Amino acid sequence: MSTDDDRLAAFERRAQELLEESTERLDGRVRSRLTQARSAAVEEARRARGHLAWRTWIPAGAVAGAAALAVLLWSGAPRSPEAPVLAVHSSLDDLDILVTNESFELLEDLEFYEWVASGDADGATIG
Amino acid sequence: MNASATLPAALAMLLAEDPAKSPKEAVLDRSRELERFLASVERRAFKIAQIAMRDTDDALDIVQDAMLQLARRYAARPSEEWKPLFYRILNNRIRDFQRRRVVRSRIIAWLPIRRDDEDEAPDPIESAPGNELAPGERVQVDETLKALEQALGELPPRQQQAFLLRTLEGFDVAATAAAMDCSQGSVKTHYFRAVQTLRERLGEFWS
Repeated sequence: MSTDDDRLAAFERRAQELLEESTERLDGRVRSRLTQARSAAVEEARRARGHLAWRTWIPAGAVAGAAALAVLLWSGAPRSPEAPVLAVHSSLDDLDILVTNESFELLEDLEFYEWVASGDADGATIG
Repeated sequence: MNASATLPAALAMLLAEDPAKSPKEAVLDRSRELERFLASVERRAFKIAQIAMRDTDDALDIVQDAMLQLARRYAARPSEEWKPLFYRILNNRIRDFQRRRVVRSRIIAWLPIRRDDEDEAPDPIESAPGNELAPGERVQVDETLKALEQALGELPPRQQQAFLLRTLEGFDVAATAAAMDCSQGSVKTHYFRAVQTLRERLGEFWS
């Protein structure tokens, strides 16, 4: 190693020692503020991750809930001997409504649609 | 960088690291790891910001912002990525503060307002150094450090960053380039010029 390289290495080492030493001698107020900042950042990360974990479970929870409701509807559907096939179709329709997320307004008028499907509407008059 | 898109994958990875752990335990471990990382870099980060800004409060605000930003956006990333990300955020925040200061000084120059710092005498207890050398040695070290910090503060920002990241943080050329968001060739050039200037200015303190 040449003399200039030695001098350069010595300069770098000295600068590093001085700067490193100065970081060890920070005053109490600065050390306290850094500790507070660190705690706030860790808390922020914890909050962000908690929110993320919660958000990650939403789709799974929604699917599980919809499936449970569908099973409930299917198992509790009317099973009259004259229309077993219709009952199954009706339950599958319910399931379709639940999973598409598009026809929730139909649920509000469910009785009306059942009445139309029963055929009673054919002879009914308005007014 | 779209961090939010990678977060669910990172969370899954976090949970997969140790299947025996509950999600809560995994998150707690991660929090402790983040705290250890921040504790390991905070003083040097403060020093870098302080030399760049020549203002303690601005430097503290910058470090706090950088910590929060890292925690908010990148905490779920692999911990090996934290260091270059943290220093990149820190450098960006320093640049933002410097720009803001230039704008503020232009505005203040037009206003008949003067800051009166004389009322804010430093608290002797708060400003007491953490450990002590012998008085004569202390004075010499303090003078040398003051001269070094003065010379560093007068360097162009990129030279200053390259020098501090390499010397104080111990980054190699590649890591410095990642933190400064520039090529390795630029880092070498900035560092070489910084060392040249500092050696010229500080010759008497190193003889």
